[in-house]
Amino acid sequence: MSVQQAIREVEALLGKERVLTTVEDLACYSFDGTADAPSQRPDAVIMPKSTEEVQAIMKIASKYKTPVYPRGAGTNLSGGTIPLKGGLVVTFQMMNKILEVDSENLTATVQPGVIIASLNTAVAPYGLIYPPDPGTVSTATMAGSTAECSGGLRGLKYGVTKHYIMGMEVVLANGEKFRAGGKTVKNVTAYDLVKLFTGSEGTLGIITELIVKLIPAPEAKKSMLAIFSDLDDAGKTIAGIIAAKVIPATLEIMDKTTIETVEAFAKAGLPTDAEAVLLIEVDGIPEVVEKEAQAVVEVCKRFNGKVQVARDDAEREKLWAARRAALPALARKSPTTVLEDATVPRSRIPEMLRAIRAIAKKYDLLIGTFGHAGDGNLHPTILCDEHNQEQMKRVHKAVDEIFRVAVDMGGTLSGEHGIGMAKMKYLEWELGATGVDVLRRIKEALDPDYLLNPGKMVAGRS
Amino acid sequence: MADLKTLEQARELINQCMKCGNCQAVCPLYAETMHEGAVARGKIRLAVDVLEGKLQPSHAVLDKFALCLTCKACEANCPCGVHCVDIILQARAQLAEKVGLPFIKQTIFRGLKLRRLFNLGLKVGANFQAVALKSRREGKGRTMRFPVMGMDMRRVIPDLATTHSRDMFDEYNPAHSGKGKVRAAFFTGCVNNLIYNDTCKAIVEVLRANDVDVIVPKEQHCCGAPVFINGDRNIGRDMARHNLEVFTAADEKYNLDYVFMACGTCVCSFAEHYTHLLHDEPKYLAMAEKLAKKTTDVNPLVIKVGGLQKPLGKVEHVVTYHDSCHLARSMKVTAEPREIMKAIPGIRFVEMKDAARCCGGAGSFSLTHYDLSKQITTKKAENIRSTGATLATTGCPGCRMTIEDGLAQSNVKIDTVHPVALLYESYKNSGVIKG
Ligand SMILES: Cc1cc2nc3c(=O)[nH]c(=O)nc-3n(C[C@H](O)[C@H](O)[C@H](O)COP(=O)(O)OP(=O)(O)OC[C@H]3O[C@@H](n4cnc5c(N)ncnc54)[C@H](O)[C@@H]3O)c2cc1C
Ligand code: SF4
Ligand code: SF4
Ligand code: SF4
Repeated sequence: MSVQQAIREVEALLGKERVLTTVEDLACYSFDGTADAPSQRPDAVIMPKSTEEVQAIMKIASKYKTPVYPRGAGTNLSGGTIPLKGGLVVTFQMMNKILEVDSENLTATVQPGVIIASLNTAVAPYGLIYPPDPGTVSTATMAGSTAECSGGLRGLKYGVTKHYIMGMEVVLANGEKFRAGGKTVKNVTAYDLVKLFTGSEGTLGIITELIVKLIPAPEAKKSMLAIFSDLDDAGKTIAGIIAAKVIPATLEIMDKTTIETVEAFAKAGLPTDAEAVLLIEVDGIPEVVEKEAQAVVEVCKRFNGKVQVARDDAEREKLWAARRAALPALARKSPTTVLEDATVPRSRIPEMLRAIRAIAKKYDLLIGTFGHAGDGNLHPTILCDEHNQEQMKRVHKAVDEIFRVAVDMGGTLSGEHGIGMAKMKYLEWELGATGVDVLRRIKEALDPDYLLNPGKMVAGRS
Repeated sequence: MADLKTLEQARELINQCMKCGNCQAVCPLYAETMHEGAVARGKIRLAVDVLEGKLQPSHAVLDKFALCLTCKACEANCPCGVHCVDIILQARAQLAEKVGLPFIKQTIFRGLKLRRLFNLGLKVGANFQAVALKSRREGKGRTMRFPVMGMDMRRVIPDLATTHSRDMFDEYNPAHSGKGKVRAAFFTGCVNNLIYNDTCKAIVEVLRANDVDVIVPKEQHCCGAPVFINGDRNIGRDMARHNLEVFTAADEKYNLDYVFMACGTCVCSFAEHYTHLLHDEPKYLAMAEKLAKKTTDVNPLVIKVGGLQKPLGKVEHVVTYHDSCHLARSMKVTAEPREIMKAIPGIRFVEMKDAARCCGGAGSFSLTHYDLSKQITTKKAENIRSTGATLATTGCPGCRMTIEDGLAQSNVKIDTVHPVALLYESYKNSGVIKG
């Protein structure tokens, strides 16, 4: 039992306290935030406290050819932390220190297990923010969201995680470590290794330290809700706002099914006869915010939208509560909630929404769609029951079709949730056989034995 | 798992969990252990695995479910509104029935069930406590000389009252005016009865000063929460039936307007748990439902009967308040205690950081997991200390015990009281009550 030997060696190094091996503990790491995914218990869960310990763990793992799965908070939605082939889950909760906030260079240096919200709390006194804000900011870790390249609500104006990662320290499969990037705004030394490891989903190396970019916090914000009885009008409004040279921080859409569900569960005061609502927030310097908000209201009205502008924080909070309720409300309606993140060029949003609706009808499924309309990133959410096998067959066909349509429209398989395990089979649609082969060659150059997060993103040669 | 029938019924609750992990952000045990198994999401997965036969019921699984403060912070932060604590309690009960509780808990709970023996034992204990407990040099409280009932030796336990609270009152304690307008029965709960007779005295007198006839039924017993929260439903049901009979009799005799408590956990027992525990016994269910409607915490009751309209004397203190989990999240009592304290002249009220975060006590959790509990309590003590308060208040005697322990261990010399005790002081200073 080489896995057991590996565990014993790690225990000898770290002590038993930080190596969990009881079935009860292992069961708790057999899953993550992903619905409709297989579950598998690891052989051990390891909680390192330093880069040196991570290196030692990787050396032992490669000696015994034991798979290793890096794990942050386990909130990803692509099965990225499920220990499919058994082995060791390495989790970073105990490496959770903010090492430095450098307000002159506008950077922070953090350990992998720092929670995104904790970083924001720490930099707030400097008047700074770390913009990437996935729905899980209060739980997700810096390395987990970096490895997933998470997006969030502010993606349209502020971009996603990869736009904020400036440097990192990485431990490779064989236990060696290296650093890339740094605090300089400009850095074109060699290949962009920082970008390569950002979004690598734990398959190329283990991130043990990050240098991230901070920006000044916007001084003012203004939120608006626009209601449409025609989907095309909502689509024209999205295009119209951008054409008016306004880049809102946030531009979200909810479709009819989502609106009805949110209303039924959360009573947020949304009109259930609407075809779509847009939630828009502009931020920045107060004078500019005023002007931009006016421009947005005008565009909404031009395309027959009924607009409410939040007058104070309480009203703003109310608008956002409705958006935040979208996923939970849908999730409460059924035992299983399959949440996808197909993304299309923003001009094709109405078309994509209609396609999703047709797919729902074709497979007789309830699909609520909401998401980041401004960046074309939609979350078609299929309400189902994983115990109903016949229904799940239809769900899987519908998912196939949603991705086919998205790619055909010039879109992408994943706007922010990553490939993980479920979307591996579609990769060729987007990258072609050669593109997939490039992924494989990169993987094998760095991790020839497929020890790091096997079964995710890059299928091994079989 | 066919025989885990009621856990099967919890399936619907379990299905509502979308595994988002939001509970991690607020779970005090997750913050300390950083183990997925300590937080609601992990425990819900364990319940699923037991249900699906992937985990055999065992003491080890039960131990995992024991790792929960039932503080409901997870529920309050759950976007899907999952009743995590219900699932955890259900699992504890089912597993305890299946594999039995650990020996130490069994012994304690059997002792708790025998009311007379239990009270007598503690009375004797109070008189002889010097034998078993050694007084700490500084401050109040004693540390254990030898481990009793699995308690940790380091724990500071408040002095047991030599007069049990309930012995200080008659069954019927008329309003001071002699013209009672409201009749309210006091369920003291055991911690108040055995340790905090200052709270009980203050509460009874404050209510009597507000035209309330206070009934203290003599045969009342511990509410049973420590027992059924740990999974021993049979003994828990016995205790519930007993209390329901005693208070129904009082209701028939005095035609009660209210049944009130000064303990977060006890209120929940009468307001929520008894109806669940005895849902299949129509006779007791009827009693439980009737009494649940009359059940209230003492803070809102004091305000309702006009307690803040009386002339209020000055009480000079800087005061902070800890929200008991059960009082705040189950009973939604958060505003009233603060309103009482802010109304008293001379009191400067300061909110502490994370006032509603569990103190770490959680009944017998602090006995079975002392170190973990202590880490959480230490944070609470620090939050209290940094307010600069001269007094810490809380609406639950369980929390008060824990906080006293935490303050003592951290060498912080701040006293603790129930908010209504401050009103009592204020009444004495204004002459509403003759001191
Ligand atoms: C309710 C909900 C809402 C969400 N909203 C959004 C959203 O708006 N936008 C968005 O983009 N995502 C969203 N997500 C997905 C998820 O929150 C993000 O992907 C998150 O940032 C993952 O962080 P984590 O710490 O939980 O990582 P994990 O789930 O633990 O891990 C994610 C990936 O990172 C790898 N990894 C972890 N640590 C390391 C390390 N040290 N080194 C190398 N690899 C590592 C893992 O192997 C895995 O592949 C949401 C999820 C939920 C449940
Ligand atoms: S219990 Fe609630 S907060 Fe916790 S994982 Fe489940 S849905 Fe999320
Ligand atoms: S009740 Fe409290 S201790 Fe128990 S899981 Fe929820 S948050 Fe954690
Ligand atoms: S809840 Fe606690 S204090 Fe109240 S009666 Fe029950 S055991 Fe005693």
